[in-house]
Amino acid sequence: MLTIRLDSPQPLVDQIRSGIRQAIATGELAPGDPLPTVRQLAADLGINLNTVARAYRQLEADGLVSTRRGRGSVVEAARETPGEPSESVRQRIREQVRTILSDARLASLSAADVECLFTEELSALWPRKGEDR
Amino acid sequence: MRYFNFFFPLSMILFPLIFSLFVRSHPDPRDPDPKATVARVARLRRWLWMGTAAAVFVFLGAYLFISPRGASFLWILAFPLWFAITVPLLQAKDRGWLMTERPQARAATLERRDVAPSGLAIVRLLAWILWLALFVLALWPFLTGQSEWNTAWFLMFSAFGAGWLLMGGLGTRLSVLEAEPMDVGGSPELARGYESLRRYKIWGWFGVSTMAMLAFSLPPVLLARDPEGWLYAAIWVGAGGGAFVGLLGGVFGVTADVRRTRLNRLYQDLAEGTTVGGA
Repeated sequence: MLTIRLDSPQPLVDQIRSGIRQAIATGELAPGDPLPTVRQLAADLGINLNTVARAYRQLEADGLVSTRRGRGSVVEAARETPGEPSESVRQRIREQVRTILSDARLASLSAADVECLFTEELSALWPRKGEDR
Repeated sequence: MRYFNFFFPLSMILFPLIFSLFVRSHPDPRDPDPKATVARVARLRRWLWMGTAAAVFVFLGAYLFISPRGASFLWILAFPLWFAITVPLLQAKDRGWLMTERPQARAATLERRDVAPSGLAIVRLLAWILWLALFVLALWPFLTGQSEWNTAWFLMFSAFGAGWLLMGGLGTRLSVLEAEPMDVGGSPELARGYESLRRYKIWGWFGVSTMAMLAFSLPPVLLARDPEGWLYAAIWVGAGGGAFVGLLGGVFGVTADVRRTRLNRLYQDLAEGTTVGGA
């Protein structure tokens, strides 16, 4: 399930992109799974075709999705890449976390609130044994 | 044919009024001005009664005093009655008939919907084989000089038959692509409803298009066999079949609309009761 908010300050393209990324990360979408067609997703969300097409192009550039004639867009990436993530990946994630934490601080969220949010999201992406995804 | 010329246009003209009588009112609890809505429903209902009476009057006048055959074309009066009065009336009675402004929080499934029900491809292929068989049956006496009937009629009927099958395929595709907005809670009831409606539309399109293909493909076969004796039979197959397909299509379209309305209402109820991150 992909959810967007029209009144969010985050652009729609980014919301779609991160929603699909999350679906891939949680295993809701597995490698080889077909994505909805651009037309279908745009109709269901009631937004412009070009917005969805741009999000798909960005996902392609990220290497998570591939589009082939007659096959449409399919999930490309393996959900978990074996081996240690590279230092550059760690650095990129650290910067993203820092941005999120700064936003939280500016929005007057307490450290406990942020911790609570992170715990919820962590348990969605890395469920403990016996816990449903 | 006389009865057909009388009853078909009359039933078409009366249909919007009769249908509207069967649609129950579903007052919107969030309607800011329910009294105004009730007044609007009453006003539109009055217009529909008057419009239908006027259309029946025009039809009967034309049928009795001008030309029964010409009057049969007045069935098209059903269109303004339906689109200009009945649809706004239905929307005022039940907001499910109108997809109101969608909420700021929107959701969609990530499953692709371009997969037709299993077996449909085979059934569709059989329909094309049937069309081809009828085409050859109609063409054969024509090619061997056993029949001298009009080439234009043969081509027109055959093209219409094939055209309907193509339209069935297109309709199926459009049915799958129709918007299926989800609530952010991902209601399984709504998802099941969409799936059921989709299956109904796909098979409905197939059924109507195949019946229409038969209605258009049978007359040339009959005419090719014996243009003299079968002429009236062929006209009956064409006219009767055409009317049957028209009614079948109408019933299919309206029942699909009723189902869609229920789902719209469910979606609107769910969407207004949910927010992102929880119900």
